[in-house]
Amino acid sequence: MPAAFLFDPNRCTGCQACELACSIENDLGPDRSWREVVTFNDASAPGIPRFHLSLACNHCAEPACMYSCPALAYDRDATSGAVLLDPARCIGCRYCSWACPYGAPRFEEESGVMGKCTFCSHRLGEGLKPACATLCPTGALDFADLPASELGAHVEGLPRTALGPSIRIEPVRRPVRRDAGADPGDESEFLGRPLPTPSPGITLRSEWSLAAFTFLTALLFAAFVAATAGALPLSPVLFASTATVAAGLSLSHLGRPARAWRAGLNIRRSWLSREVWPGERA
Amino acid sequence: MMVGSELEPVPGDSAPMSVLTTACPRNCYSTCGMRVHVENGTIRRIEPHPGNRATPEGVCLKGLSYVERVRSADRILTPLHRNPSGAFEALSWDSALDLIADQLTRIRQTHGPQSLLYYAGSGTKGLLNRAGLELWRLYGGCTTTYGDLCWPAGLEATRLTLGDNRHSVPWDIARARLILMWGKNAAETNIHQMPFIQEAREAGGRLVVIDPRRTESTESADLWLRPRPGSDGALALALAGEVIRLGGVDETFVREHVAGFDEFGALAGECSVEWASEIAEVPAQQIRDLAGWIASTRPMTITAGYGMQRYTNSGQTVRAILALLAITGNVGRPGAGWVYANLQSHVFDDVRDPVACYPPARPDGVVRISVSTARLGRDMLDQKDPPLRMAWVERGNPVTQNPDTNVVLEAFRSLDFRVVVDQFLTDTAREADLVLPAKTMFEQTDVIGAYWHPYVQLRQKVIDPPGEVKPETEIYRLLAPRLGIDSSLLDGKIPGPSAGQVDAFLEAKLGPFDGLSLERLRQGPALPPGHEEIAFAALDFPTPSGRIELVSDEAVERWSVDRIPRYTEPEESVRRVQGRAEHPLYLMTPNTKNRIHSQFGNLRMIRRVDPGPAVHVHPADARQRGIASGALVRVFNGRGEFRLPARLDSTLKPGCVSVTNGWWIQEGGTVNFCSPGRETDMGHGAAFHDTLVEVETA
Repeated sequence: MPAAFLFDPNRCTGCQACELACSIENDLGPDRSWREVVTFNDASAPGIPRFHLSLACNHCAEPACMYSCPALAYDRDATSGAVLLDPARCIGCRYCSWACPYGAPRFEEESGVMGKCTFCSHRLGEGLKPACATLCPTGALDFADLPASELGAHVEGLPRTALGPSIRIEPVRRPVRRDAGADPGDESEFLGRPLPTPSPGITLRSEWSLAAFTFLTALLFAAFVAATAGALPLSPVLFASTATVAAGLSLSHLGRPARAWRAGLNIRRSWLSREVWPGERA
Repeated sequence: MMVGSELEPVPGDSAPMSVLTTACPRNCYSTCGMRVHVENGTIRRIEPHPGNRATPEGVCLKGLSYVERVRSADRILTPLHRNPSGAFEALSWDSALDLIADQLTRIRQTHGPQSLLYYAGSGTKGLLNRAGLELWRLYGGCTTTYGDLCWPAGLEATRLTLGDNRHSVPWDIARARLILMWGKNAAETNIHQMPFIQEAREAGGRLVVIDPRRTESTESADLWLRPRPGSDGALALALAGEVIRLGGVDETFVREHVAGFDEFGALAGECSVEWASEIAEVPAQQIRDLAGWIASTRPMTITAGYGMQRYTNSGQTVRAILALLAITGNVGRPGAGWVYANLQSHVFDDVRDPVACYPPARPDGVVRISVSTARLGRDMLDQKDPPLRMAWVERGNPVTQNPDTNVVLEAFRSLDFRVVVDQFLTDTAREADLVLPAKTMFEQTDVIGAYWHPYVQLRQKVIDPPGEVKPETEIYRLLAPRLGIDSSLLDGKIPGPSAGQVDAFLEAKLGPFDGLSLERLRQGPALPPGHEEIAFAALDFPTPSGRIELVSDEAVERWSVDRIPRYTEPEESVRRVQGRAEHPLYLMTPNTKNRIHSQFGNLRMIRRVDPGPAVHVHPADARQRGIASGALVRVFNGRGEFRLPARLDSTLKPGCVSVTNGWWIQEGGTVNFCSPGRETDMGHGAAFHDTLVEVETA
């Protein structure tokens, strides 16, 4: 039977014990956790409730990370339903982190590969719940079997996708308070001030090598076509050296360049793999 | 060496993992029961012990971070001696103990033994903590402190009113129909109380939070009152007056079990809602709404925090709040009562707090109990016949955690020699001539009580101390012969070094109590004999009148305050100086979920989740002063200053600034540079929050 995280924002106080439970159970060291407590209205704007959501990997029925992975580094555990990443097969291209809407897979600088929640598969095998769900001090985060009929269902509280995340979230029931507006002065502080927007996961600064690679590849392709048509005299040396630079840029983007050969393994599903094989482009 | 008796092979692992019962001994409400998984001398997992019904779901993030704390790279593992250039160097135990013995012998000869200050904080709990004073008595005596930094004003107010500090089991609050969380942020400081409160709310009960700050706890509140700091007493009196006017008094209960209702009622009758609204800066309608709920809802539980009673008027404040329970008959009944301090597990104390922390009426001439914890620095400097020459500090970090840090530093620096026992180089340890490495809770067995739930628990040794770390009892044992103390004199007072000797020592302490033994405690938390699930259910109050006392002659005799809890402004109040205040902002120094005072903040696991030190300033106050978000600001008053980045925060009441307490000076400064060395109106507590400051861009 598939399983899911159960989360009750009415019980969560944002204590982050779940994050530490994950770090400890999975031996991630003190500076890293696969779980993150996200706070809504973190600025505590008056009149708007403040609450939390504890998120890790939702081990989706249709895992975008697994489908997008060019290196076939992801697998689904048949017993637990966990979507597992094999670090030995990961090339560190970060493509899965772009595909996942929950921010679950994260690039780990030290190892050069992605890391993410395993559903504590090793504990499930022992008949235990994941460490985060076991150690939540308020009972806000729990773990339970899910009826198979519910697989792939939309989860209230999360954006509508076709992924079928294995998490269920209780509706927020914060009291409607009679003291709202007790300090009318407060409200004015927030009028006209935009709420902070989350920082984008992908920026030109973080992905400059990929942007340069894409630009050079397009340039080379155009030059090749123009040369073939006889419209442009093309120096083979210049072409080859530019192509080498482009290839170098594309490799430098990988956490594990030596495993670059794996990038073409998932032609069936990953657009990145299809891009690797020029024949597929046609 | 593998310690303990419970061996459970964990499936899937080749090496057997031992799973041992222990408990967290921090100065914290929750005092969680724990099950610790140990493999090859390393702590792998920490889980809640289901036998502790108050903390069954999980230990907090601090409890989990012990995994890092025990093996932190910053931990002190050998004695450290300060060399002439000011740096610390490792020293052998023999040299360290010889050095201490030389200094102790010298000051005993020149000034007498009372020129030694023994300062013990609340950093860890346990019966073996008493070993220190046992040694110093044999040494010839010492000087030590009275009072307490934490909670004595509220304890004394409770003792005067109800006769004793005990309350119902933590889960009883789930039966309340109305909960007043007064000056407490349980979501951060007593997280295990929140599920019970949530249970009460799900059953239709209402939660009211009274706090100047918007906190994680106010988010769940049906009503949130934000009084001006220190004005809670006025609010309580007006609520009582309004409840009486609304006919909310339980006449039968008051007639049979309350003394002084007429006198108190007359006072409350004079305290109008408008009067309190003006003083506390709370809308009158909110006070009326709350009074209406109190008058009409039974049962009601009031769960009060310790921050609210760290003012110079706060013993009286707590007496006024307690009166709300008394007049409505909300004592001794399920779902009702006063949740402040539950000392039912303190069965090993001959005299219970707060009286245990008062200076004795007749000093014994050996241990001089003459330094007020609240005035630590000033009183240390003022000691005469003999003056203080040396200090021994353990389980505490007085440089950052006692009020008036500048004077505390001056006092410590005026001594000839300082010994500090600690796990880390705290700001106090950095002032020491000699730092001795301290054990953690996992490295020696002890028995602990609690002050929220009623359990007696075993804090069991699960690993050996790392490096050259020795428990304090061993340090004393090694020091004794160097001071000319015959080791036979230590027997029965300080256990020997082996685990068996410690166990035998503790077993003897448990002996007199039915149902308590090491074997029983190894299984899990145990209830002390005579435990009351519903406190005061027999409606038998150990006060002079045998009733709940709303008037108290002892309050007059002992503390020179009004016999009824009349409202007075705290010492440092903007209303006392009406617009002429040089330092017009209240400095609030609350606790955070990420630390217990100055502990845990140095760990990387905690740093990863903590936003870092900052001064929270209301946007209106910041605008007036031209303070930008993130700018470095100077927080100051006549006593001192510290500098931290500003964080604009509209969750504060305007006129208040807030910095969580416990930051180290090394991290940007302790809030106590600005707090006064001043006692609360009763109980010899520290009036930390009676502090006005000004803030400006640095």
